[in-house]
Amino acid sequence: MLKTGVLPPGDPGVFKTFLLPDIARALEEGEPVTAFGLAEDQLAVGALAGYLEGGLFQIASLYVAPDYRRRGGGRLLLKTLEKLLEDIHTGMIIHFTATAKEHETLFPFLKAMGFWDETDEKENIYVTTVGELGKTSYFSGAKETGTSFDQLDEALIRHAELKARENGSPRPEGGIDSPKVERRISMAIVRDQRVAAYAVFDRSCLNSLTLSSTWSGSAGPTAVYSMIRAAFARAQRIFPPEEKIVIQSVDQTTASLIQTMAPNAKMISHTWMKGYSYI
Amino acid sequence: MCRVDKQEELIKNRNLESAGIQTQTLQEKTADLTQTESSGVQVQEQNQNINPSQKLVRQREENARLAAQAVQEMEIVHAGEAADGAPVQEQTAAKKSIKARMRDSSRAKEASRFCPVGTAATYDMVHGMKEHAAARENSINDHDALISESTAETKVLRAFCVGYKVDKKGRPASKKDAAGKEADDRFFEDYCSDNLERRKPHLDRIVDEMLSLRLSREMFTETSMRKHDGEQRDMLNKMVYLENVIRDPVNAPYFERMAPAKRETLDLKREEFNRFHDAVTMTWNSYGVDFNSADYYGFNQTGAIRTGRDCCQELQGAFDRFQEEIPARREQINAHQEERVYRASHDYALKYRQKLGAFNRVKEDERLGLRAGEEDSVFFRGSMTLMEPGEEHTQRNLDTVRTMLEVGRLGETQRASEELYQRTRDIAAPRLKRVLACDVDVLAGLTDEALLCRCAELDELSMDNMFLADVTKLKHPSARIANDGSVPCLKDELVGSDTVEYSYKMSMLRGLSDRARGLAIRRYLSSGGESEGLLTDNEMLKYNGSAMDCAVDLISKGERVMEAARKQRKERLTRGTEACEQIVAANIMQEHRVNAIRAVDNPLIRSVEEIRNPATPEMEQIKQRLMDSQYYSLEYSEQDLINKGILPDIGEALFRSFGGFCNTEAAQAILSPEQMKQMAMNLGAGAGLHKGEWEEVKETLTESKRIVERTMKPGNTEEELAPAVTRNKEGMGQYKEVIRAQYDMIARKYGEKIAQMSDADAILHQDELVSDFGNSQVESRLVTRYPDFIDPQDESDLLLKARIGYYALMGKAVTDRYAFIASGGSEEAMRAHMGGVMNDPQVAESLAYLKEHDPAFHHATDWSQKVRAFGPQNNPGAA
Repeated sequence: MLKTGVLPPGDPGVFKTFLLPDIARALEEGEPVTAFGLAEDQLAVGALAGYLEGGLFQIASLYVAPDYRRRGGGRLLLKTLEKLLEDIHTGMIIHFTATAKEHETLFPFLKAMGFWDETDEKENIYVTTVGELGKTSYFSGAKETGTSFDQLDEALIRHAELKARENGSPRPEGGIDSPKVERRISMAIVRDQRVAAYAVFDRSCLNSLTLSSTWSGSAGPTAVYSMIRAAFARAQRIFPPEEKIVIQSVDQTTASLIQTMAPNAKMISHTWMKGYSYI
Repeated sequence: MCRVDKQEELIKNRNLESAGIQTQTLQEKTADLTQTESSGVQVQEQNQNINPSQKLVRQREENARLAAQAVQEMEIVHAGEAADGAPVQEQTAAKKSIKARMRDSSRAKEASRFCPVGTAATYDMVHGMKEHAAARENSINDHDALISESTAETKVLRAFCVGYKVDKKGRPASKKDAAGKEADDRFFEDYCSDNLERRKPHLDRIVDEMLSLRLSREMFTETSMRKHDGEQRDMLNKMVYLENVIRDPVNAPYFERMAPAKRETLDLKREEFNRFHDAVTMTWNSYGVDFNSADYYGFNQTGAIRTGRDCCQELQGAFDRFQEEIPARREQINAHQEERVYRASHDYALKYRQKLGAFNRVKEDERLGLRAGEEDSVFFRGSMTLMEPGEEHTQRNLDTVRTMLEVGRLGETQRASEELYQRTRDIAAPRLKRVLACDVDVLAGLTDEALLCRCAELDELSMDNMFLADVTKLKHPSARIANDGSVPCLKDELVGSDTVEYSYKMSMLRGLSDRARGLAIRRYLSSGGESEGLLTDNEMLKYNGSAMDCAVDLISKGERVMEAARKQRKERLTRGTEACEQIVAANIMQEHRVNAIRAVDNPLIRSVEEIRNPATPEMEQIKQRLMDSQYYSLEYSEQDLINKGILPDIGEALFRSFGGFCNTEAAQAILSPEQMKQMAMNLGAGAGLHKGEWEEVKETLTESKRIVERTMKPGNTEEELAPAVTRNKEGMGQYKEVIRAQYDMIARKYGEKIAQMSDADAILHQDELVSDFGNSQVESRLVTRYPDFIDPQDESDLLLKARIGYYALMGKAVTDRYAFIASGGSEEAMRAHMGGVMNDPQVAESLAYLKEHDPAFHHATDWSQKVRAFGPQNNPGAA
C-alpha cells in the first residue's frame, strides 16, 4: 500500500532520484524546502517538493515512478500537501515545460485534482519544426532581409556585442559573439558598416534552434520580421524538416506574431493552479 | 464604502507603533524605499550572483515555518531503495527565460522611474488596469447625451457596462467587442430611462453577477494580480458601486421586493466585498499601485505604499477569517428562510383555526341572540372570516357577528337603518380600502421565493373579501333610486366607479394568496417538513390528508384565477368589445348611484338644503337668482356690458343643482358647510334687482331647450342695489378662490397630456373626471361673460383665465369620451371631436399662454395630485 510522509530536512535519501536537480540540491543544502516522499513498504516510488512564494505554494517537482502510476500515488502526494497548506489557507501552483511525452500525462491529472489552467499565451515558449514553418503562407513571397552572421566580418559582430552591452540591448547568454550562437541562420542588417539590427539564434532552449534575441535598432521594427523570414528560409535550406525551432513570446504582440508565422506551433510552458477552497 | 476615503483613513490612522506589527523602523523603511529607486536591472544582476539554490527559496522564514510544521505533524517517510525512473530534466518556464527576464528588467526600469517600489509587477498591474479602463470609456463616450439627461450615476454605468476595444478606425476591434457594444447600447438606454421596469433585467444581471463572484486568497498573489489586475479592478469597482445601485431611489422598490433569502445573501456578499476590497487595495498599495487612478504611487506618496505594506497582511488575514465564517452565515440564511417557509406554509390553516376558535366563542355567547334557522345563514357562517383572534377581541367579535346577522335579516330588498349602515360600513370600509390600495401587479411580478414569503399578508387581504362582497350589497338608507331602478348600496359608496379595478384586485389577491400558499407548502414538504398543521379540517377531507396534493392544486388554481382576472380586465379596457360596452354602461349607471349617495351625503349640499327646497319667499328668491339660467351682474347695465363687449349674462345658472360645484375637490377642501351656505346666500342676493334696461322675460320651451329672453326694464337705484352688489362681490370673491384652487389642482394633475389620455384611463377615472370638470361650463362662462371676474392687470387672474379656457373644454371633451364609447361611437368621430376642441380659438389661445407662462403645465398626468387648501394657489410655478 502506498503511503506518504515528509522527507527529513537536509536528507532526501533515496527519494532524491525522483526530484529535479535544483530542488534536490536545495533540500540537501538545508534550504527551507517542503518535500514529501511516496513509498510502498520500504521502496521509494515518488516525491513532491516545493516552497512558498508570492502567496502560493510552488510545486517545484512532482514525480511518480512509471510502474507505480495509476494507483493514486500522485493524488496522495497532493492531498498530503493540501492538508499541510490548509492552516495557512494557501493554494498551489505548478509551472512546467512539456518537452517530453510523459509531461502530457500531467494535464488530465491536474484537472482531475481541481487545478485550472493558468497558462499565459502571451509569455510562453512555442515549439515548431523547420518543416512546419515551410508550410505556412507567412513566408511565401515575403521579402527577406539581412545577412547571416557566418557571412559577416568577425570585427563587425564583436562591435555589435560591445554596443549591445553598452546600450542594454537584448543579447543571448554569452553574447552575440559567443560560439554558442548559430551563425548560419542568425541575421543582421548592416548599414554604414555597422550592425543596425539583428536576430540571433542559439540552442539555449531544449537544445534546439532558439530565437534568443532580436533588436531592431535603427532599422525599424519591420526589419526584425524580415530578418526572421530570412533566417527561417535559410533554416529550411540547411536543416532537416524535423529540426525543432523554439521561439519565446513575451507579450501579446509576439504571441500573435508567432501564431501567425507558425499556426501549428505548440505552447510548451504551462502553469496550473489550484486555489484554497473555503467551502 | 467610499474607496478613496477609506484608503486615506487607513493611511492616516496607521501608525507604526500602534499597529502592533513587527516592522522595520521608519528609517530602515525609507532606506528600503530609497534602495528600490535604483535600477531594477542592477537588483537583478545582484541576485544573479547569489548561490543558485538560495535564489530558489526567497520567503525563507515562511518556508522554514512550513517545513517545520510538516516535520511536526507528519511521519517521516523512509525507504531503503528507489523504484526505477527519474523526472526528465525540464527547461525552466518561459517567464524565467532570458527574454522574459530582459522584458521584466525593462519594465522594472520603467516602473521605478515613477514609483519608489516599482517593479515589473507594478508595471504590469498599472498597464493592465489602464487597458481595461479604456474599454469602458468607449461605452461611456458613446452615450454622453443619455447620461446627461438621466439621474443615473456615471460611475455606476461605467462599472457595470461591458465596454469594448476599438481598432484604428474606431470600430469594435473584434466580434466579441461588437457584441459588448451592442449589449452596452441596450444597457445605457434602459438604465438611463430612470424607469424601474426597464432597468429590471439589468439589475437582475448585476445582482446575479455580484452573487456569483468567487473571491479567494489567490487573488492577492502576485501571479494573479499581474495577470488579472484589470479584471480585479473592474470587480472592485463593481463591489464599490453596487452600494450606489442599491441606494438609488429609482431602484429602491426592486431591492425591497427581493426575496428575503436572496437579499440576505446579497448582504453577506457585500460584507465579504468590503473586506476583500480593503485587503486587495492595500496589497496593490504595497506594490506601488494606486487602484483609484490606475497609476503608480509616486515618490511623494510613500506614505500610501508604506501603509499598504504594513497592513496588507493583516487585512488579508481579516478576509481569511471572514471567509471561514461564511459557511456558518450561509447556514443562518438558510435557517431564516426555512423559518419563513414554515410560517408561510402554516399561516392560512393557523389563521383559519384561530378565527374559528374566536367564532366558536361568540357562538357560545348568550348575548348573541341567534335566531332559529340562522346558523346556516351565509351572513352568520361568513362572519367567521371577520373574526379577530384573541380573547381580548371577544366583545368586538360579538358585535361584528351581531351586525352581520342583522344585515342578513334585511333580505335583498329592505334598506338598512342609518345606524346599521354605519356599523356595517365601519366593518367593511377598511377592508375594502386595503384591497383597493394594494398594488397586485407588483405582487404578481415577484419571484416564487419572494411571493411565498408574503403569505400572511395575502391571506389577510383575501380571506374575508368573498364574504364582504355579500355584505356590501347592503342598501343605503336614504339615497334616491338610480335611473335603472336600483338602490345604491354600500359597495357603491366604498368602491365607487372603481368596480373594474376592485373586481380585478379581488380576483388577483385570491389567486396570489392560493399560489403563495401552495408554493410555501410545497417548498416546506420538499425540504422534509411534516404535513401536520398545514391544512384545515375541510382540506384534510378533500385531499385525503395529502398536503402536497393540496399545494399543487392551490398553485394551479391560483394561476388560473389570475389569468382569468387579467384577461377580463384587458377586455374591459379594450374598446369595441361587447364586454367593454357592457361594463361602460354599467359604470355610467354606477356613477349615478355614486352621485346619488354623494348628493345625500355631501355636507356642502346639505348646507344649502334650505335654498334647494325653499320654505320662505326670501329663500325662493335666492334660489331663483342662483339657479336661474342666466346669472348676471348687478353692477352694470346692459349698455355698460355692450360697451365692454360682453353679453348681458353668463348664459348659465350659477348653480344648476349645487352638485357640480359642491362635489369638486376644491369646494370640499376649502369650504365648511357654513361658509358654503353664506357664500350661496351672498351670491343669491339681489334677486329681482337689476341695473339698466332689460327686455321683458319671455320663456320658450322646445323639445331640447328652454330659452329665456329678458325684457329691458328701468333699473334699480344705486341705493337699492348697493347692499346686494356688496354681497354679490363677497360671494363671487369666495367662489373665485375655490375655482382658483380647483384649477391649480387640475393643472398639476392633468398637465399638457390631457388630450392624449387613453381610453382606459378615461374609463377608469371617469368618476374623478366628472368631479373635476363637472362645473367647468359655469366657470368657462364666468371667465368670458361675467364682468370683472378676471382682472387683466393681475397675472394670477390671467393664469386662471388660461387654465379655465384650456381645461374646461378639454376636460369636458375627455369626460365625454365615455359617452362615445358607451354609444359605440367611432374612433374617427371621437378624434374629430377632440380635434375640433383643440382648434377652438379659446382653447388654442389658452394653450399658448399656458405653454409660455405656466412651468407647471409641462408634465404628464399625475393622478396623485390634490387640492392645496392653504398654499400658493396663485403661484404658477407651484407644482
